[in-house]
Amino acid sequence: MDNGASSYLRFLKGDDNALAEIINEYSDGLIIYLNTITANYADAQDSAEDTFVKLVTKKPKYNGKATFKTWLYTIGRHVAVDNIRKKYRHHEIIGESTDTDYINLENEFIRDEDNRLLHNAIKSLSAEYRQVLYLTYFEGMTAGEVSAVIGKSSKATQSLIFRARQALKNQLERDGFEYENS
Amino acid sequence: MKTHEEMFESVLRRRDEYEIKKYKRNKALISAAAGVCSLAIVICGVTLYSRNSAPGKSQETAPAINMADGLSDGIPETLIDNVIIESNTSDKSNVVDETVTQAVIIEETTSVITATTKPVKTNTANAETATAKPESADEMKAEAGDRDTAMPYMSGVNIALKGETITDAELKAYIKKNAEYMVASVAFDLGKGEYRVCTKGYRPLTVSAKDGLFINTGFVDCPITKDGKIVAVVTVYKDNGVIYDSVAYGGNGFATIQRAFDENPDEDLVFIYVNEVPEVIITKENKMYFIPSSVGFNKNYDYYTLYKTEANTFSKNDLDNNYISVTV
Repeated sequence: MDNGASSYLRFLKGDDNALAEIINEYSDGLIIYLNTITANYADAQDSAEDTFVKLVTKKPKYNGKATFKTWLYTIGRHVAVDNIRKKYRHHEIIGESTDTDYINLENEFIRDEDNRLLHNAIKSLSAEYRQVLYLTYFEGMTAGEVSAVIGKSSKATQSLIFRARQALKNQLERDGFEYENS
Repeated sequence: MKTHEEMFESVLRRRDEYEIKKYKRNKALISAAAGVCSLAIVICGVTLYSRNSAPGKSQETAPAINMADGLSDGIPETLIDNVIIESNTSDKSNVVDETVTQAVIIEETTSVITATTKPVKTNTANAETATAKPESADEMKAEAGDRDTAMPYMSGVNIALKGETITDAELKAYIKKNAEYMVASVAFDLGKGEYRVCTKGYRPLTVSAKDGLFINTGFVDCPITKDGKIVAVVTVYKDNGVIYDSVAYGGNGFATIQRAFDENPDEDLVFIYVNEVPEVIITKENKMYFIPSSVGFNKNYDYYTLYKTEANTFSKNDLDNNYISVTV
């Protein structure tokens, strides 16, 4: 059982400190992931908080079939998509993240300079590509885990990852990024 | 940008708001359900009365009551011989003939409705409960107190048993295995000492707007004591064949439970929850201990007999004689 799962079980038994551990451990990554969907830092942060609120109010059952992170990100994705729908319904405009707080968070979370360049290149891609590439490269998820989070079949996910990589390669070439094997 | 601590605080605050909202919503649902049930009983009683009081009249020609017309407007003149409609929000009066049905409707913003279709039981064991039944809506309301909802009392009510049963042996084995962990989580806040986790709990009767009256046989509450006082309750429950537990402590209700035990040491007490919230403990004399007090009751009714089953009773003897001791 991973740390997140054990913390969540402790939380279900009434230990609120376990929730603090979950937030400390997963909130930053979750916000950055959700930002690939919302393209807006404030919305990503709100959606991340809504995700944790959903955990503590609805107390969904974690069955251990996926890692806790995969399970949490799946809930987060649903929450973010719901929030975007609500925003569209209220005709709110969704803009790109330019918040310095978000840039600081990104820099804190993605320390490696090359990875930051990679992440910046990913940000210029479509939301679908951003999601799968972030989960693959920065969260180290397998194609199976990514498919669980984004709610697509394994085959469709593999195909999506392949196309996203192609798009990323083109983007990096346009940015003048040099490959080690090129 | 929120820090982790700020996000944590915000999540907990929103959880508390959610719980309060949920509690209020459930309370409103129970009030509404009780209202609908009571109204249905009144309508049935009046219909029954109309059939009995008009022997020459065939069923087909008997006047129908249209609920949509409203009670006072919808009851035909022929039925009102022995029925007076009364409401404390208007000048109309409402006292239904007690030989057929006893019903009182108290209309207010959050309506309080109490009804029964059988004669009120007078309990000679307790002079206080043997008083004459209330004669008016105001009197009934006074007896019920200033509460939002009234505790349901319906004769012949079925108490459903549901859930995945936790046997007494399973319960004891589970507590034996997990007592240290349960106590550890309590001792973290309440300090070191000897804690006793009761291995024989009670399965409360649950009043739910959605599911009616039921006992979840896979949901057992076991008190945890320290220095002879209840300081926590561990809920042991079964889901998909797996037993879990959840320890609650720090609530105001434990003092009330303790008082109920102390004042009735040899009695099996009946535990009633509204949804998953402990509401009331009833003694043989129908004395009510409310936790917290948010449900009204009519002291003329014998709730104890109505609601008592083996599963939802518990006594101080049970508490004192079945436990696992853990010292931390």
